Amino acid sequence: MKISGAKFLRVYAWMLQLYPPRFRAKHEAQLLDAARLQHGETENHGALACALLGDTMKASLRENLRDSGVASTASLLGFAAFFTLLLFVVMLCMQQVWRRGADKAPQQLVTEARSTGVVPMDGEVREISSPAWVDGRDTFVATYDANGNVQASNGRFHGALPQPPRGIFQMMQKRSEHKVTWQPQRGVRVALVGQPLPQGGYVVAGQSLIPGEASTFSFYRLVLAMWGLMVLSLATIAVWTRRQRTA
Amino acid sequence: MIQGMATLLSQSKESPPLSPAVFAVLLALADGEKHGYAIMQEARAHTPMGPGTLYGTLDRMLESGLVRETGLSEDGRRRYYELTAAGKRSLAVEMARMQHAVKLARAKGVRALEAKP
Repeated sequence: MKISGAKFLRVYAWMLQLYPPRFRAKHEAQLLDAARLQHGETENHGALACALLGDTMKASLRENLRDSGVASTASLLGFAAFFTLLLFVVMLCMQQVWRRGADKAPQQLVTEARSTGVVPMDGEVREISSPAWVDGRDTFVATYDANGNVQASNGRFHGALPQPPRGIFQMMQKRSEHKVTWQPQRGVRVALVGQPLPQGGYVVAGQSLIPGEASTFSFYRLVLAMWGLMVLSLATIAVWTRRQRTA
Repeated sequence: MIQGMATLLSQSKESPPLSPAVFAVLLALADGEKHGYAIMQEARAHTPMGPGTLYGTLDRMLESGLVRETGLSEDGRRRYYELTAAGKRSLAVEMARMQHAVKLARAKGVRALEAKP
């Protein structure tokens, strides 16, 4: 493939704009001269153009990095700190999203019970300590008297009606709605939402937190892997930049 | 002489190996002053090298004191370079490292490929 000398040098001169001004000011004449001489020595101008393009891309990236100091230790540490903070914030947000997600279904049930005055309690009994309920997204509903004593529920905890700590009912009375995490035993964690009923007493609904927590832990593992990848990438850039500077 | 080789060898263990581009430039300048394009032509016998890579490498070698600039042609198209004492030393250290590696390889029975006629 043949390309005229003038056209070849015009394109190469345009490509030199990729270099930082310092490098271009010092070496532009030499780079153009080298391209002119190479053009005169070879028949295959297409291959030469490809080689010069590759060389320009690689060398200009290196010179721009060198001039901008993008890969300086302070910049790398700053980026690492920023990325770590960002991942931490994302982790906290996702944890909150999953935690609040577990409140949604119980909240709907208690809001419906409060507004209609009818507690939506079906006849099916759920055992809260059973693996099926702990690992699922099913809900239970319970009603309590003004002192916080359980009256009725479609949930059971080891066969008995679920009785969370009575302190939560005082908070329900104060705030008109209270959301709390109840851990009746190790491995059973329940998102509870309760509201006072217009006719007196309280309605409480709950859903297992375990599925959401499993998703959270999977996400934490992904975040940890991303952090490790970031550290590895920055270390590679630091070593590469150092070699470029000392070479 | 043997003591000198031993010193170079111990230095080669302490300093990191030169990059192929730096070694090729040092070797090209080993027999005296040359301009950039002549360095590039000779260096290409060892490693692929375009003009951008060459002048970037020369800039870094100038900064680390391995080469010095000796002048510019009248039309400004050519810059001339030569080795400094540090550059000659680096080349010698690299040679010692290579000789040591070749010696080790031979001791293990490794043989170089025959050059094609």
